[in-house]
Amino acid sequence: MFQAEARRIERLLYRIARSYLNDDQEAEDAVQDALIKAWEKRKTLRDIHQFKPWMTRILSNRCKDILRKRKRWSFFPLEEDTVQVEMPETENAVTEAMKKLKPELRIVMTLHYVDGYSIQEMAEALGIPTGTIKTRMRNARKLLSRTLLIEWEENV
Amino acid sequence: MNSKEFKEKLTSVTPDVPEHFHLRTERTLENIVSQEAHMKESTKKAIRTARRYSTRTMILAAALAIMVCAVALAATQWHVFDSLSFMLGTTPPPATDSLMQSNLYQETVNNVEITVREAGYDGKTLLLQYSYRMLDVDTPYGVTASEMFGDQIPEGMTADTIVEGLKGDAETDLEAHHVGWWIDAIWFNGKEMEMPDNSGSVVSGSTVPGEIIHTEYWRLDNEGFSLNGPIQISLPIGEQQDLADYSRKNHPEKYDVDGSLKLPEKGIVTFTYDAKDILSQVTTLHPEEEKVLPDVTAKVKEAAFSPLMTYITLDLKVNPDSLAAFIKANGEGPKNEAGEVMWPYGGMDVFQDWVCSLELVDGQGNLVFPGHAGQNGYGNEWAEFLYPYLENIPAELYLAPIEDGVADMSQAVRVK
Repeated sequence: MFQAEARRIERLLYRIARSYLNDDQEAEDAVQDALIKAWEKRKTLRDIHQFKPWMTRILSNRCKDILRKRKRWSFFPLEEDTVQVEMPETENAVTEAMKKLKPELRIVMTLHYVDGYSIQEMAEALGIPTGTIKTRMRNARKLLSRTLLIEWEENV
Repeated sequence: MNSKEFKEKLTSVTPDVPEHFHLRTERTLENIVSQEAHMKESTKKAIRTARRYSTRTMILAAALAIMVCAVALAATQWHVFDSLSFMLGTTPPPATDSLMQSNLYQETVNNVEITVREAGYDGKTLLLQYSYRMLDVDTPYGVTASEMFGDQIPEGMTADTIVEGLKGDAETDLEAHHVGWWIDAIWFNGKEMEMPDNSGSVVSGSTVPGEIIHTEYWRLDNEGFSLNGPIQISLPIGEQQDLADYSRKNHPEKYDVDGSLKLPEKGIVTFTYDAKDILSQVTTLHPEEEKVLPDVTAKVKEAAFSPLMTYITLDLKVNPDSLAAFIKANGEGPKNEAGEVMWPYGGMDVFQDWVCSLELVDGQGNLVFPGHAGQNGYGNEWAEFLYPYLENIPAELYLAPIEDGVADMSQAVRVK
């Protein structure tokens, strides 16, 4: 049951970890840590239908821990080991604008626009009220509009 | 730009789930379930799968160790026992030559010279050092102290001292050669072991072009495993293999009945290390003398004095009344944004201040290793302390809480 549920949300876990950490290897580490922690704590999950928000919260906390440690040692000049890929200007601008968003905002934008999650689905997946999701989407759009001059065609 | 165009652009720049992520997640899921199935006994250890550390993690660990311990490293060449600096913040004891064996293996794969340079074992911890040298790379990957610290070079280092971390695209370069650690396991005499708790690794470059040096420490004792005499050690550090070929689900024939991965035929480096009779050089005590304190009852489960290090393990039992009072004051556990308890508070939340204040002292309350923090992890029922090698073990030893530099012997737990 645990394995099946975890497999079902693999993409979601990747999206969340990648949004927080912006690094594939650290995202892998974070998801592994979170799965192990979730497995150890699985008896505290009373309703399997709550697996998705329960798991995503464990992962978010793990990612925040990693970010906190990064911040703590940010005096150290880290060399990014990511490979720079040549991208057309607009794509590059979108990437840069997304990078400037807080992870929480980046997650909802990615889930909504790339993976097609509705507000309700994001609320269920992340265990957050729909009102909070809407606020995050609005904030993200507002910030993105400043740099990308996007005209949003639908309301949140 | 409109919403639709933004959606298209964002989709095109957002990576899909990488295959490696998928394979690692699969392996983690397979391992946590199968591992528990084979772990009949309840141990202090959490279920862990072995993992490789990202460059960033290792650099951060290095920065932490260096900042906290201000350890000077060998200027031009690391040796395997130098990793003790990162475990303990000390240099190794002088007489360790007999424990260390050098030049254990060399092979060139895809234009990468793979060398197992050194191995050492103290009856508890196996330390290994191996290197990759890309023969077609003409720049060195070593990071010097001046590059890491600028003009704030720590005491004991010079500007040219090689410190932890890698310069440039070292790991990407190695991957391009299809060489490097490719699955999370090692094998002793052909039998798989996953990375035990409190193990780790450090990585550095050097002044040699294209060279990456890995030093690993494996706490074999945490798996209840010890080495005696000659033993074959196999590392997955050769040519990279496709992880999909090692899926437990699709390739059950590659796993033993106990769930462990059989030694793969490809991508493996195997060498022989002779542990000799090292176990006879380890003094082990089991004082088991209980110290009853208001919040916790503690006893030293084991104190082991090896030719390299001093290991002390505490058994801890929280006072149920103290735990109940703690929960009454603080709630059942830390809560998430929705107000749900993420995990319940336990003994460690009650006695962690006391555990973290413990240090090794002699019968008069004098610190055995002044300025050295021995705390190496704790849980609801255990704590571990690591200290350097003790040449002359005092007649009496305790773990005592230290406040303002003074040991409170009324709360001390007897070690010896």
